[in-house]
Amino acid sequence: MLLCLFTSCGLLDVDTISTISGDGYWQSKGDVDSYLVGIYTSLRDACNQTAHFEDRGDEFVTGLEGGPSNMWAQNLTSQNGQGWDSYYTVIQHCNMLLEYAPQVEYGVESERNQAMAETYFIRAYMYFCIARVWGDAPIELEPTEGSDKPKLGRSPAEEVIARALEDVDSAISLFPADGYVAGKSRASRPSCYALKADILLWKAKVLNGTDQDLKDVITYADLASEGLSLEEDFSAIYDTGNKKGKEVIFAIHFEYLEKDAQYSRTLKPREIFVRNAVNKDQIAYSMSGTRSTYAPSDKLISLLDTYPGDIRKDASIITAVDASGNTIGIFDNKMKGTVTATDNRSYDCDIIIYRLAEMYMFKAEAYAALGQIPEAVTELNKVRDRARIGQYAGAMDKLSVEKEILDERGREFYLERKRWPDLLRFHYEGVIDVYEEVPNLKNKKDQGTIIPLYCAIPLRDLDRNHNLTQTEGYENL
Amino acid sequence: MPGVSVQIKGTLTGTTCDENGEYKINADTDDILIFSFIGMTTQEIPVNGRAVINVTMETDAMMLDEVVAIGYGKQSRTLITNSISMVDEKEFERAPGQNPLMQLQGKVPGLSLEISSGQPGADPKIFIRGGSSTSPEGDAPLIIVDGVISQGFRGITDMNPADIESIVVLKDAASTAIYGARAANGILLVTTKAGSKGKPTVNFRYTFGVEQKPQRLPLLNARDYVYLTRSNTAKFNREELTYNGVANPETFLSGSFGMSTGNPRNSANTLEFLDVYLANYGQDYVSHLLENEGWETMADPVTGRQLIFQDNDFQDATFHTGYKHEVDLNVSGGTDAVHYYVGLRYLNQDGTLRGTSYKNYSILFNGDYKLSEKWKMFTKASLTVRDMKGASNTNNAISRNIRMPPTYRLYYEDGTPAPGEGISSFTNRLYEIYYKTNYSNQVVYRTNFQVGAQWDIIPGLSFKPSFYYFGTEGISNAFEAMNETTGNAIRPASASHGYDRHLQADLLLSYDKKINKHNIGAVAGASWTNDYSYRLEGSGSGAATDLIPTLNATADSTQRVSSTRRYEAMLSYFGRVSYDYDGKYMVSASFRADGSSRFSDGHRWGYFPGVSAGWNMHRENFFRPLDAVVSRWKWRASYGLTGNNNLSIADSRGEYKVTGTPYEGKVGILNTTLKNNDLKWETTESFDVGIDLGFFNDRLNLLVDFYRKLTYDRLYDLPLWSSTGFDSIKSNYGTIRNNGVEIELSATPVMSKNFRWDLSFTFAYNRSIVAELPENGEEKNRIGGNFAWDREAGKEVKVGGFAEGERFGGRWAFHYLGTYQTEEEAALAPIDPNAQSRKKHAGDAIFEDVNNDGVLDSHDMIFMGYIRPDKVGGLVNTLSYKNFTLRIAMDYAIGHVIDNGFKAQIMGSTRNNNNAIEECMTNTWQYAGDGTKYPKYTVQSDYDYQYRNHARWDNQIGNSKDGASNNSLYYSKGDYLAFREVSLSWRLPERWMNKIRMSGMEVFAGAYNLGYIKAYEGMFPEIYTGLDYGTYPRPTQFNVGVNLTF
Repeated sequence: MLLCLFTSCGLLDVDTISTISGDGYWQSKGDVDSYLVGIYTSLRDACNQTAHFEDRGDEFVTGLEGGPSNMWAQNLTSQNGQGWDSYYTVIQHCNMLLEYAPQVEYGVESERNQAMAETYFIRAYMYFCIARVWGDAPIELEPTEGSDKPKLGRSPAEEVIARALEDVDSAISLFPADGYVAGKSRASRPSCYALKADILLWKAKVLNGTDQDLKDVITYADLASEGLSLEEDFSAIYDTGNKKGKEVIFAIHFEYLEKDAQYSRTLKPREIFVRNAVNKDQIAYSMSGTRSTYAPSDKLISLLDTYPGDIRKDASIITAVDASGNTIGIFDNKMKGTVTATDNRSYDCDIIIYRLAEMYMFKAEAYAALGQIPEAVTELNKVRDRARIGQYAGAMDKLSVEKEILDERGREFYLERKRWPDLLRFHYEGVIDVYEEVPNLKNKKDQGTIIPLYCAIPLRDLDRNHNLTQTEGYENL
Repeated sequence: MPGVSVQIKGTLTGTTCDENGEYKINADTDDILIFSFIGMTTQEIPVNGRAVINVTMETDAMMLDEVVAIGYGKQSRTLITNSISMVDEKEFERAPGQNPLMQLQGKVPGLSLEISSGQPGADPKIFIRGGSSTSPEGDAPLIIVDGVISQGFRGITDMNPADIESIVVLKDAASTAIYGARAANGILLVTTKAGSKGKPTVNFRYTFGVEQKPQRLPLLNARDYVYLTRSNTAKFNREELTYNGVANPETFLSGSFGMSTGNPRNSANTLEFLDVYLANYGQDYVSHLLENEGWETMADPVTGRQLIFQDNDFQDATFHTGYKHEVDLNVSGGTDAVHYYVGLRYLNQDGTLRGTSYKNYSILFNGDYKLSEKWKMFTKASLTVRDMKGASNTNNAISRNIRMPPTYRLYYEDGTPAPGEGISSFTNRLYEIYYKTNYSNQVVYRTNFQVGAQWDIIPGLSFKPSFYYFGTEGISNAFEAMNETTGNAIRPASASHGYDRHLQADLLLSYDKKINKHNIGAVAGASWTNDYSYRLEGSGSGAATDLIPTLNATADSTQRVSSTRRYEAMLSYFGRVSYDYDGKYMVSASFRADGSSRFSDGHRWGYFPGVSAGWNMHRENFFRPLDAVVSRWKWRASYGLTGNNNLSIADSRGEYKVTGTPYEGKVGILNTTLKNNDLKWETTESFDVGIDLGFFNDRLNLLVDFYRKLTYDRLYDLPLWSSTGFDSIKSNYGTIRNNGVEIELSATPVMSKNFRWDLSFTFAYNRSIVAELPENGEEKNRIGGNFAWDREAGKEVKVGGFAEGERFGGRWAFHYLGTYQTEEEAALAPIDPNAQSRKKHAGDAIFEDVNNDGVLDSHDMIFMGYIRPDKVGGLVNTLSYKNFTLRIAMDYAIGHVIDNGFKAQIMGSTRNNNNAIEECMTNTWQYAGDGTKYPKYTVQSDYDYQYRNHARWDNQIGNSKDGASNNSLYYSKGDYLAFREVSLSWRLPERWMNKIRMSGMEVFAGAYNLGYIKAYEGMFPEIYTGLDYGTYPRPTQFNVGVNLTF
C-alpha cells in the first residue's frame, strides 16, 4: 500500500455496484427490457391523475374534504400554469430507449422490434396527451444526455399530433405480430389501432382534419376490436378479480403491494365519514389513503338517470345514507379496488386506456360526424344494449345524435379520464358550447373572463427556456 | 520580574510580582507555587517549608503559550496566523446535551448552529461563515476526530462529551487548505483526552437530569372546544358564505368530527346528547361517568339540548417530563513509557415526547507507548452504542397529535389506548406508542481503531504513519401490532441493517529546526481513504400474531428485500512549511492535491494552496513602552483555496437506477441522473485579515477577523426546463460571496483573592450574496422568483429566487390589513384567485391590493425579510467565589424572520377536525367592530373550503413548504437572546478531601435552555428555514450531579 500511495495505482478506482453508471448501460437485451419496464412505471405515474382529463370537465363537484384543483375551479392564470414534466419524463425515457436499443446486439431481431414498438406507442400516447392539454408543445425526439440540450420552442398542435401519428405508425409496423403478444398491460398492435382512432378523431374535430380522418377512425376502431367482446356485466370491467378482461385493449397495471393508490381514490371517503352510514358495507371507503376531494356531479347523476334501469348507475356511484335517511355523501362506485386482509381497501384498479365499448363509440362518433346517422346509431346501440337501456329511439337528426353520443360517453366512461377531451371535441365541432356546459367555465365567463381551453405552462419553464412562449389567451390572466 | 503571576496550585489564591519583581504569598509548607508569565515557561516549585523562594523566569523555547491543534500538527497560539477558535474541555465536562456539538453554540464566532429537533441525541445543523452555498444548512464543516476524517457527523454523534479535550474550529482557507477538497465549509478538529505522566487519576461523575417541554400551548378544553366549534359552525357554515354555495353544518355537528354528536358508548369520540345516553345506557352509567370518569355536561349552543362529553388533554398525552441518568467514569495516568486514558459512560435519557428515549454506552481507550528513544506508538480504540426510540415524525407530534379535539377519548373503557381521530398520524400518541413505538428501535454501533507510530529519525525529523478504521453499524426494527386503524398492510414489519466502513491511511513526515532565531517547521504527507456503504432493508406484513414482531413471521407474498453497496475513494498529498523569526514574524504556506473517485477521469484531481503571515508587533522593542497596557498585538492575514466534492459518482457518470415500484412484478430500470463529464471541483477562495489584542497582561483579549469568501464553479443543480425530462443537472455554475466580521472578546473584569469573573463574548456578522450566475437573459440573470410591485417606482419588478448582487433567502407574503367588518366593505374586495375567486364576506381577511389592479396575486405580496440571521453570537460569564463557580451562558441570533405556519394552521382549522387555541375564541372576528385581530374562525378548513384567510399561495416568492402561511399576519422577526445555561458547582475544600483520601469532590447543578427574550410569538425562535410548522422544541433541562476524583 505504501508504494501505492505514491504511485496512486488504482487507489481511486471504485465500483458502482448497486446502481449503474452511465457508461455501463445499454449492453444487452436485458438492459433494454428492464428499461422498457421502467418506462411503464413512469407512464403509470404520469397517468395516475384526474387533473388533466377529468377535473376541467363537468362530472365532478367538490366532495367532503380537501380543496379541489385549480383545473376544476377553472382558476387558471398565467401564474399557475400546469406542469407537463410528468409526460416529458416518459418521453425522455422513450427517447433514450429509441436511441440506444438499435445499438444493442440482439439474437432475434423481432424482440428488439417489439421493445421499440411498445416504446413508440407510449411516446405517441404522451404527445397525444400533451397536445390535448396544452396544444402547442416542444417535440423532443432526442434524449437529454447533458446540459447542452437545445432549447426547443413550442411546435404547433398540428405538428404534435402529426408526430404522435407517425409514432403510432412506426409502432404498428414494428410489432412482430398481431394480438396481445406481451399481454394487455403492455402496448400491442390493437392498442396502436385504438390510439390511432382516438388521435384521428381529435385531429378531425379539433385541428381541422378531413373526412378521410373520420373514415380512418372507423377502420382503426374495427381493427382494434378484433377478438374482443363486451362484458355482460358492466361492473365486471373494473372488477379487480377480472383484470385485463375480454373487453380491455390496453390497461396500465395496478396491484396491491406493487402499486395502488389509483386516482379514483379522490372520490372515496375515509372511514370516519361513513362510520354512521347504514350502507357502509357497500361503500368503497378506506381507513386512510383516500380523500373524497370530489364527488360525482348532479349533471352526471342526471345523465345516469336519463334511462331507467341503466345498470351503470349503481355500478358507477353510491350514496351513503345515515339511519335517518340523510345523505352523508356521494362516492365513486366504479373503481372499488380490493378489500385487503385487514378489512381495509387497496385502490388497485387498472387504469384502462382503451376498451371495446370505446371503439364502438369512436365509430358512432365518426359516422355521426360524417352524417351517416343510422350507422352511428347502430354502434351506439351496442353500448346501450349492454347497459340494458334498449335501442336509441330519439331524434335522428345529426345534432341530436351527436349530443346523444356525447351523453352516452359521459355515462359509459365516467371517471375514465375521457370527459374533458370529449367535451372539447364536441365543442370544436360545434355540437355544444363548452363554456355553457362546465359550470365553473360558465361562471368565469359570466364574470367576464374567458378561460382558454388549453392550459398555461408554468413560469418556471418560461424562465428556464426563453424559446418557450405562454399559451395563447393567458396574456391578461 | 514585574507582572509574573504567582499562584498556589489547586487554589485560586495568587498574587503578582511588584515592579521590583518581588512577591509575598501565604502558603502552607507543602503547597506548590506556580509562576507564570506570558511568553515565559510556567514553573511549578514546591515550597518545602522555605520562606523565600527565588525563581528565574526563562523565555519559552518556542515562546509557547496555549497550544492549538491545527491540520496535521500543533501550533502555539501566539504563532498562529490563521483564524482559529478553540472550545476546550471546560465546555464539555458537564455538557447537558447528548450531542457534543451542542456545546459549540454561541462559543465560536462565525459558527452557526441550528437545532431542528428536540429528540435526544439528534445532530444539529452546523455551518461556518455562511457556508458556501445558497442553502448553508447543508454546508456542514468537515469533522476530524483524532485524525479520522468523518463522513458527515458520524464520527462525533453519540460521542461522550466528557472524553473531549478540545474542539478546534478552523475557519479561514489558509488553515483548512491542507484538507483540500473537503475543506470549503471549514473544519472541526476534535481531540479526545489522553493520559499524562503521573499516578492514576480516577474521575467518577453521576448526573441526574430532568427535561421538560418549555411551554404549554393554550389549547382549549373540551367545553370551550365544543362551544366554539358548534356555535361557529352555526354562525359561518351557511350557503351564502361558502365558496361553492353549499353549506354542510351537519357534517360538523352530527358527522364524524370531534365536535359531532352521535357517538355510542365506548367509541373513539365521547360527545353525545345527554338524553341519548340516558335513554340508551341508563342513569347509573351516566352518573358513573359524571362522578368517577371526569365527564361533563353543557348546553349545546346550537340546539340548546344538553351534551355529555369527556375532557381529554392531548398535550399531556403527547409530552411528559423526561428523566436522565448519566454515569461517567474515567481513569488516566502514565509512566515514562506509557500514557493511558480510559473513558466509560452510560446514559439513559427520556425524550420529552412520550415514548422516545436515547441510551448511550461508550468506551474509549487512548494509549501511547515509548518503545525506544526513537520509536513511539499510539493506539486508540472506542465503541459507542446508541439505542434509540424515536417518533417516526416528531413534527407530527406537535402539529397533529396535540391538536386532537379534546372530546376524543384517551383510553377505552377496558383501559387500552383509544386511537383519537385514528387516521395515519392523526392519532393519540399513547395509541401510537402502544401499537407501534413499543415494537420499534434503532441501535447504532460505532467502532474505531487507530494505530500509529512515530519514528524520530534525527532530532527534529520524524516520520508518522497511522492507520484508521471506523465502522458504523446500524440495525433498526419497526412493527405495528394489530389495531383498529391499521393501514392496508396487516402487522407491517420492517428491518434494516446498514454498515459503513471508513479506512484511512496517513503518512506524515515532519521536520522542526531552530537555527538561532530562525524557526522552521515543515510537514509533508499522503493520505488515502476508502469508504464503503452497505444497506440491507426488508419489509413484510401479514403476520398472524403480535408476538413475533420480526420479518420471519410475515407472509411470503408480502416480503420485499433490497440491498445496496457503494464505494468511494480519495487519495491526497499535502505539505506545509512555516517559518518564524524570533516569534515576531511568521509565514506559512501549505498545499494539497486531492484525487476523488467522484469525478470522471479528466477532472479527478484538485489543487489547493494556502498562505498566511503574521506579525507579533508587541514583541518589537519599540512596543516596550506600551507593555503595561497592551500585552499583545498581532496582525494576521491569510489567503487560500479550498474545495468541495459534494456530489455523487452518479452526477459525473450518470446513474441508472431500479425504479421504486415494479410493473407486473418485473423490475424496471431508468436513467435517473444525467451524467456530466465536465464536472470539476467547486472552489472557495478566501481572504482573511485579523488582529489579536491583549490588554493588561492578557486580562482582556480581543480577536477581530474580517473575511471575504468567494465560492466559484459551484457544484449546483442547474435547473433544466421540463421538456428535457429532468429537473436539473449537477453543474459547476455561479459564484457566491460571503463577507463578514467576527469578534471574540474574553476578559477577566474582576480578579481578587476569593472572587473572579471571567467573561467571553462573541459576535459574528455574515452577508451572503449571489455574485455571479450564468447568462440566462433575465435581469441580474435571476433564477426563479416572480413579479412583485415596487411602490416607489410604481411598476412591477422581478424579485426572489437567486439574482446577481442580491442576498438570498428573502420571503414575500400577502399583506394582511385586518378583517372586513361589514358586507358592504367586503363587496369591494379585490378578486382573489387563491380563494377560487369566491365572494368575500364580513369577517374575511383584507389583503392589500398593492398595485390596485383588483386582483390578489404575486404583485400584492410584500417583503417580509430573510430567513437566516446575519448576526449571531454568544456570551459566557463564569463567576468564581472561593470554591463556588457559577456559569451563565447566553446566545443570540438577529436578522431572520419566521412564518408561524403552525398558528396559521390552528387559526385556519386546516383539517376541519382539530382543537383550537384560546385566541380562536377571544380574538377572531364575531361581529362588526369587535376589535379582534384574526379573521373569523370557520371550523371548516381554511384550505379545503377555499377561505384562504390564513394560508396563502407562495407564488414562487413566499415559502413553498407545506404548512406555510405566506400571510404577513403570521410573520414576525426571529431575533432572540437565549438563556442557554445557568449552572453552579462547588468544589469541596481539599483539606476535607484529604481526610477521606480523595483528591477532589464537586457537586453541581444546572439549568439549560431556560427561555428566550424574543420577538417571535411561537415557542421556538431558533428556526432558520423561515417556517415553523410545529417544531419539536429544545427541552428545558435541569441537571444535578456529583463528580469524584480519586
